[in-house]
Amino acid sequence: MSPPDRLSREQLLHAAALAGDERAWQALYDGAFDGVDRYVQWRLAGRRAAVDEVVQETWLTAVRLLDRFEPRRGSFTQWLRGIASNALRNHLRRDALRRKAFQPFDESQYADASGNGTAGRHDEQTERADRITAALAALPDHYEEVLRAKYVDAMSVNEIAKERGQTPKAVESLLTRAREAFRAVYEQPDASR
Amino acid sequence: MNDTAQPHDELDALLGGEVSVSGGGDPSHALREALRGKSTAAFVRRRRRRRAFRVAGMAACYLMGVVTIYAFQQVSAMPADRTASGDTTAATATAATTTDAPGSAKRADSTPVERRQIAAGEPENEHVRAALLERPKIVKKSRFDSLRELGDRHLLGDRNPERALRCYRMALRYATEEERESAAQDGTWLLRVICLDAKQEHEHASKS
Repeated sequence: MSPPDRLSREQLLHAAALAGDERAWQALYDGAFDGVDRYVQWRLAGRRAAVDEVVQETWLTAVRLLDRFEPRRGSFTQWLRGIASNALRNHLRRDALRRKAFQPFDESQYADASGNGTAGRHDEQTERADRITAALAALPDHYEEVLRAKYVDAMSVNEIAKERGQTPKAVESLLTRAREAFRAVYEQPDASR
Repeated sequence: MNDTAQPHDELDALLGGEVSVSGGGDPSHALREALRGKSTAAFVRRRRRRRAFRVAGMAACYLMGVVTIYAFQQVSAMPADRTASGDTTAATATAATTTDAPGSAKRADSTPVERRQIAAGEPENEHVRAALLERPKIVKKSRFDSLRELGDRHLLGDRNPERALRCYRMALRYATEEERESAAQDGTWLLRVICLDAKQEHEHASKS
């Protein structure tokens, strides 16, 4: 869909939804749900329970604040990503506080030999997911945006360049720097804390 | 750097979502449907609330209109009732500078509605029309009369000739020739003395 079509469609749906038309709202919802879910899943490295929690918070906030959405300033999905980003920040803050309050139970000391392999693998995956989440959360916005465009929206460098109004060369450079920044945070020993 | 040419390294695996803990994957259909239901319900509630506000607003407007019409009818009916019962109202009983002239058959001051009724020749009945015309006229007193009355009150009521003197002197300043003469004839002793004094003074002045 071309940007003018997208704009006029979203303007119409937005106005109708504000007037109380639930079918307009459902059209907006169906159009944006997958995008938001993919984004949150990427940011939380696929931890489904947390993803569901954040996605739910995002949509309920969106319903409450729908009158603040301005189609001219960006697409509905972009607006929702902004809300999701705030919801993620709140979620991570709550998560960190919870971890501080409750020290994790060290299963390895008490687990019997038969269950060790599965538990260890799960712990390792969780640890990596935590590190990815923390590294993405630590990135500056422009790095996060360009990585999201590449890895979540599966856009090519040319498409990203067109969307951002930059040259492909500049986007490549930005991508490289973003990946390096991500790696630097990810490889820190206490990245997940 | 081309996307296709870029090597698929560990970083791509991490950022590309290939790392996921158990439970990761597509959004559950149940969550999607539950959220759709919840958010849609919020819209339905919002629409109903808006409709209820609109209906309440219209009902309030209607009620205000009914109350206004009722009040207007009450106000329109009031002068006839008052006149019939001979009651004095706040509108006719004005400040102390006005006075009633009881018994005089002067044409009454009437409200615009009453006047319209009389002019159109359609009073509610002849009795009301007659009563309206019989109502005593409100005569605005001159400044001389007011000050003279005040002086009388000080002299006769308060027994304070000094104040009465001040009032009379001031009254005479505003008096017409007729009023001076009437004051010299039927005023209180103090007023008559002042008038006489003023007259003599005037005569001496004109002689000299």
